Amino acid sequence: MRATRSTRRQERHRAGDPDSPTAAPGQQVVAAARDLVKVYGSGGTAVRALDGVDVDFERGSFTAIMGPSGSGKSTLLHCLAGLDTATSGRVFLGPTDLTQLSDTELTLLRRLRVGFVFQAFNLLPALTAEQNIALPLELAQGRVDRARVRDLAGLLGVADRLSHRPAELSGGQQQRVAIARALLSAPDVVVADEPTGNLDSRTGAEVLGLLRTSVRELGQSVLMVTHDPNAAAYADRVVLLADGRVVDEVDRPTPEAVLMAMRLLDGSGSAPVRSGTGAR
Amino acid sequence: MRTVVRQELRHGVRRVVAPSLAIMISVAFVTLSFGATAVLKGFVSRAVAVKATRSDLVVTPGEGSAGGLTAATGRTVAAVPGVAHAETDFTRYQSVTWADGEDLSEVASVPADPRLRWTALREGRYPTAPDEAAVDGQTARVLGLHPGARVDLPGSPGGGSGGRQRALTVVGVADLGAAALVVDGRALLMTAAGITGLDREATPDEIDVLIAPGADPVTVRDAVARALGGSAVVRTGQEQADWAAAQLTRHVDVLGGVVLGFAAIALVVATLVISNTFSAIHAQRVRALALLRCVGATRRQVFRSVLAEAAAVGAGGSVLGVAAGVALTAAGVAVLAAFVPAAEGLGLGLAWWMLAVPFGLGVLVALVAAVAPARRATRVAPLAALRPHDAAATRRTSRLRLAAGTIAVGSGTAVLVYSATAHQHLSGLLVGIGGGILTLVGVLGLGPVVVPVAARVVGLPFRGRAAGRIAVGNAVRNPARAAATSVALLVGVSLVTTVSVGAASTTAVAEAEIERHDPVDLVVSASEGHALPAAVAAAVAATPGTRAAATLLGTTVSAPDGHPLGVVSAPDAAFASVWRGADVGPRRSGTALVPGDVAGRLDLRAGATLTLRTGAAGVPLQVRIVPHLPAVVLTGGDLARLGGETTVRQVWLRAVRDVDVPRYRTDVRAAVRGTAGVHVEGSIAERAELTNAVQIMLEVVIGLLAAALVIAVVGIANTLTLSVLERSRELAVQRALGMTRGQLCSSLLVEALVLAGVGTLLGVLLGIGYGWAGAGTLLGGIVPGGVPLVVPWGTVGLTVALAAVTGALAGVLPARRVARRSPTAALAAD
Repeated sequence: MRATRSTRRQERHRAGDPDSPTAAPGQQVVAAARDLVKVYGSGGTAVRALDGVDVDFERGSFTAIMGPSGSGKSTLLHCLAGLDTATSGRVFLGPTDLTQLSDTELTLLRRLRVGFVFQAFNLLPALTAEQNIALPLELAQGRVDRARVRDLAGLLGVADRLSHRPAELSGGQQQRVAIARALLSAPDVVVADEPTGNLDSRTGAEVLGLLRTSVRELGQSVLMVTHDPNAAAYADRVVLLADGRVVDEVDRPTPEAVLMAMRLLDGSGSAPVRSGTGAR
Repeated sequence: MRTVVRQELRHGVRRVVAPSLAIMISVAFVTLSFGATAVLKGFVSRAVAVKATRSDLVVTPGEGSAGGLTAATGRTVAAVPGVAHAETDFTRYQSVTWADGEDLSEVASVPADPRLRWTALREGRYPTAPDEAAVDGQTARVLGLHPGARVDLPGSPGGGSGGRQRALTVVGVADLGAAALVVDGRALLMTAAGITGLDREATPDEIDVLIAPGADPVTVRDAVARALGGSAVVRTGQEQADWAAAQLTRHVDVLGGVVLGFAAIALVVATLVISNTFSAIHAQRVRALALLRCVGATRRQVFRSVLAEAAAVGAGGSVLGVAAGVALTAAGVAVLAAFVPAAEGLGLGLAWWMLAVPFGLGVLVALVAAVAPARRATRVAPLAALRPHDAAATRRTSRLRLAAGTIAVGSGTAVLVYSATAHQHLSGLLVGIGGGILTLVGVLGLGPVVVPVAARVVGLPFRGRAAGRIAVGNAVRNPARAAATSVALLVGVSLVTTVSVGAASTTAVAEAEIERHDPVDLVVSASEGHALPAAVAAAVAATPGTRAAATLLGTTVSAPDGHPLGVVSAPDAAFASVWRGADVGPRRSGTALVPGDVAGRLDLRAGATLTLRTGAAGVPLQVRIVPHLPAVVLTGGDLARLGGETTVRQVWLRAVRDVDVPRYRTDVRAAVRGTAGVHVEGSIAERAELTNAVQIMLEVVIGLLAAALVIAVVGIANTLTLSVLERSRELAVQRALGMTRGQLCSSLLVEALVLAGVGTLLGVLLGIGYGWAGAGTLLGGIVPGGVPLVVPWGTVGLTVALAAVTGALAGVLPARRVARRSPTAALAAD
């Protein structure tokens, strides 16, 4: 019932919205921000985490968001995923304007239209791997296609771990289960927040390869926040943020190109690098 | 380290709310039981002092058979030099017909000397003639009695007035003041001569003495004692007051001890809750503790810092608890003074130790509860600070613990079964309590194994939905913590169930026993030589509240011993409708049902032949002995064969269930009032009193257990709050993945419900076992055929429902707090 109602509302937003991201010929935009501002706190302690971000993300591509600590990259990801609300400006997921949705509507949207992969605490310890994968669909009370769960698990190489609990899985296996969960509902976007941050480089490379595969073979759209140029090199495009604004983009990146762009960012002095504070 | 402790306390205030609350409640309970005991003692002492301190000396009967006062003793005392005035004082209990019915009341003598009078005259004057009386102020108020009213002392066979009814004229109303407490029920004041006129055998209860002006009370006391020899005890007024107070306050002390026992249960439950809290707090602070160790804190310092924190929490909670206890005591005294006239102006009477002991207990409980968590805290390796934070690891239950728990439960159960079947009563009860404690300790030990299994059972109805599955899984994620939380509730619930089951079983046994002895609710019978007029019999049978009435025709025959014997007959159906005893079956012509006592008197055995005669011709009847039958019962045909004049001799009544017993009895008595030679007897009042007494005891005990139950609920709220704090990241992931606020809330509520449900389920199971074993231990062997297990499903159901509701409420607070947080804020929090 609620899902139906919110879907209808999303349809309404689609019709004749002047700010709606109009895709250029041959391109399809899956997510976009329009003059997005996010301010944390108020008065003297207010922090402008996002300061007028305008960016489009293409359907079926793998985009990395990079930037120094405090540049607002995680905030941007959270806003795009419907986890956080904008102070002003607009956020679109497909045709839906997220800034017009209530908390409950955002929650229902996240179930089916966004897939999540986090750095840590990805899986619920009380559930088995299979239950974890099926969780968003079960919350939406949709029918869970067991065969699809098994197919995905097979694709991600965790088919034999489905009955295990997270505590019994390695870090890489946990992240693969998390990716399977993110892919199960075939969402508009999969958002990944430092997905390799807790993994060794070999396991990390495998996980990034799987995200890459999901884009190429399943046509998924992936947004990934990372600070690792090598990880960013798996993406089709890198968006660079500094001080809450988009400052640069790199298409078809190589680690070297990304590193170069980052250095330029530092060299320009526009990104004060603070150590020890989280990017969020 | 002191700074660390201080800062931890300051920043973690929310975390120590629950342990402080648990300590506060239990310490308040202990303080209140001390305070209430002191107040009651003061109340009693003041009450007995009112009368005793009027006299300079009080002579009371000596111990043993040598004692006993007579009118002559009074004269002897009066003759002792230094004695100015000696007066005999009578107090007796006696049936009095008040305006609202008959009641056993205190009848006391009014001293002739105004100096000895301990009551305050409010209206009229004191009685001076034997047929005059004064009534106490309270009764006068209730019944609207004023001078000129009439009060009757009914004459009953064997009663003091020799079977004659006596009419008294009320001439005054006197207030008893504080002494009203020691007067049991209503009081009637008469002259000493009036009381001896009721009963020539009446002996004085005491002799009140006034000494001559200037005489020394102690000297005169010794002189009186010498004059009386060993037959009496002589005390000064103050000594008498102290002695009487000591006699009465012994019961108060026993009562206080019982209440303290329940306070101890509350303290034990508080210990469980506090220990659980400290364990959880330190599990969350592993990294901080490890960091402390990294920067050079020794194990000892860590241990001491944890204990210091516990002591601070204990002291804080105890101060609040003592204050709350004193406030509750004061409130109780205020309420008492407002409703009980005798309590006016009563003080608190608190001694320093009544505040110090509860405070010390509170701190001690906190320290004891903190020892195990503190030891675990010392085992944190410094390196843990450097390792990534892992989610609460599940520790495996050690085999030793499993074995010990199983042995404790097994042997405890065996002891319980033994005590329930060995019929040793009181000594068996001690053994049984030992067995009960052993099983409880065993269940505590097995908790981490038993609780998850029970949680899965309790959680079955919630497994259909994803949120429910997560909740059930989370409830037992940390089995040790889940176990400690549920067990805190288990203790309270099992005790409530134990007393309910025990009380229900005891009542059933006692009712069966009373029914066996007195199988007819009420019997209205005419004495030999009297008849029950048909109109009266009909009026009795028509008393409201009657379920069935059997009107029995009968006659008087000659028994073999030559004495007259009343026999009655009743149709089978009428007999069965009022008879609660064992089924006597259809009665055949030629048999007589003979009451056990009549059979004894006539030396009859079952199957013997009893020949009854009215005239010359005898009718032989075969004897069937039926214990506790109200009369010899024949068939109608046999009664006709006897040929005497038949009249209505008895009416047997069976009341409807839940009848208002005193009222019913009064109504039946009213129906026969004025009919000569008719009396009313039966078991109904006894049964109602018993049920009532058991019910009151049950309510009091459950009330006393309430503190333990409240603490357990605080514990559930606390465990949930702490684990919610621990799981904030995980809950944020759930929100991110599409759990709505409502789903998150309901998931946490289900978690609370499962924890509460497990405690309740196991508690009810244990309680039923304990209740059965307890009733079996105390009553086994008294009742043939064993003690029935009666489970009062109403009470048990109410307990379960209450536990479920409070469990859910315990989940509301943390659930609301979590649901309000934005998912990103929680994801950011490390």
